[in-house]
Amino acid sequence: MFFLKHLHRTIRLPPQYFGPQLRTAVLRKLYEEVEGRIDGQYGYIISVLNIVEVGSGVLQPMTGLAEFNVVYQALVMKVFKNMVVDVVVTVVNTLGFWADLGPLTMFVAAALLPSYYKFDPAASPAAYVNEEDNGHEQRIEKGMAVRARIIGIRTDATEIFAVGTIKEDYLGPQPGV
Amino acid sequence: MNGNADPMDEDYNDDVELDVEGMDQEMEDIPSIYLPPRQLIPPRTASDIDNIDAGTAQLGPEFDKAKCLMIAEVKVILDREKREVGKAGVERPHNEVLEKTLAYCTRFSAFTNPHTIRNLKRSIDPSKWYPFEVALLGNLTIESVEEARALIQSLDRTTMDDNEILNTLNELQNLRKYTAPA
Repeated sequence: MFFLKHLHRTIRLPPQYFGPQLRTAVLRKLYEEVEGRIDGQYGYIISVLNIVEVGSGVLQPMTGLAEFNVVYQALVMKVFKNMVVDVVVTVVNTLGFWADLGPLTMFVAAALLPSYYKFDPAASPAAYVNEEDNGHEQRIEKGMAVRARIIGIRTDATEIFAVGTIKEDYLGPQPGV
Repeated sequence: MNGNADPMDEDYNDDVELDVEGMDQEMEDIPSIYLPPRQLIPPRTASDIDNIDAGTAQLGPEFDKAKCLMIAEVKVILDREKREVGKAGVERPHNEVLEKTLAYCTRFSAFTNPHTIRNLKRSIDPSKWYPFEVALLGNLTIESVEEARALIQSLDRTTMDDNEILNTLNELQNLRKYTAPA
């Protein structure tokens, strides 16, 4: 789920940047440190949209670095437990399938698929197949869009990982997307 | 910065005079550049923040006041960001996350026309719907009231009745069908 958040960061610049391009250097350091990274509270910080304010640099007595407090507005993505999302399947095997929600990876275990989905190893690409009586077959295979509910989230320094289920009404493959 | 500016506008980044009276009371507080004296920050443990249940649509103090966006809106913003990356003059490192998000949004964006999205937001009554629910409605293609109640658990409250949900779903479907591509 995407949000616009005003965030704050303290940027520390070494003295080599104290010149005419000082503000540019602060912004460049901000982009390096923040864009595309994960914040524990806010999830993925996808992009810095605009800079609200850059404070004056304060010299630190011990290190000689100048500290700038920057307030910026960013597009963040954070997911919550129990929310329903559309994801794109990437890997399918006997344990279940992995899917991508943009930069975030989700895993749906085979136990959390409805019992009528059987793994078909012979199919290429490998897929979970649901044979219905009227001959209308539903498959879960790589590249398909699936609607799942997130039941657990784990955040670490380099990625956010979610666990999901499709064992409920109105969840599962979305053929039209 | 105009507090009510729509991030999807082309001229969002232009400086506009601050409209103090027009400021919405509900908006999030923008952090100040003047920090309080530094204190020891306790280490972050797995706390309530990780277990916020979206079933109640209460997302904690961080996100309740932040503007929640639909995938279609994000696509418009990211398209503009991509175009402007070269212009600003400050080099930004190649952002893999941005690429993946843009690919995701392109695939799942139900509306292409920014005017449609604005009309949609105007037609949904903010006093009845939580912003999180509005975003979910816009992202998932929901056809019936039952589906809405099953997928969005927070709709199970006294202020929300089936008629309201039905009307909003019909509006959404109309907008999806009868809009010209941008």
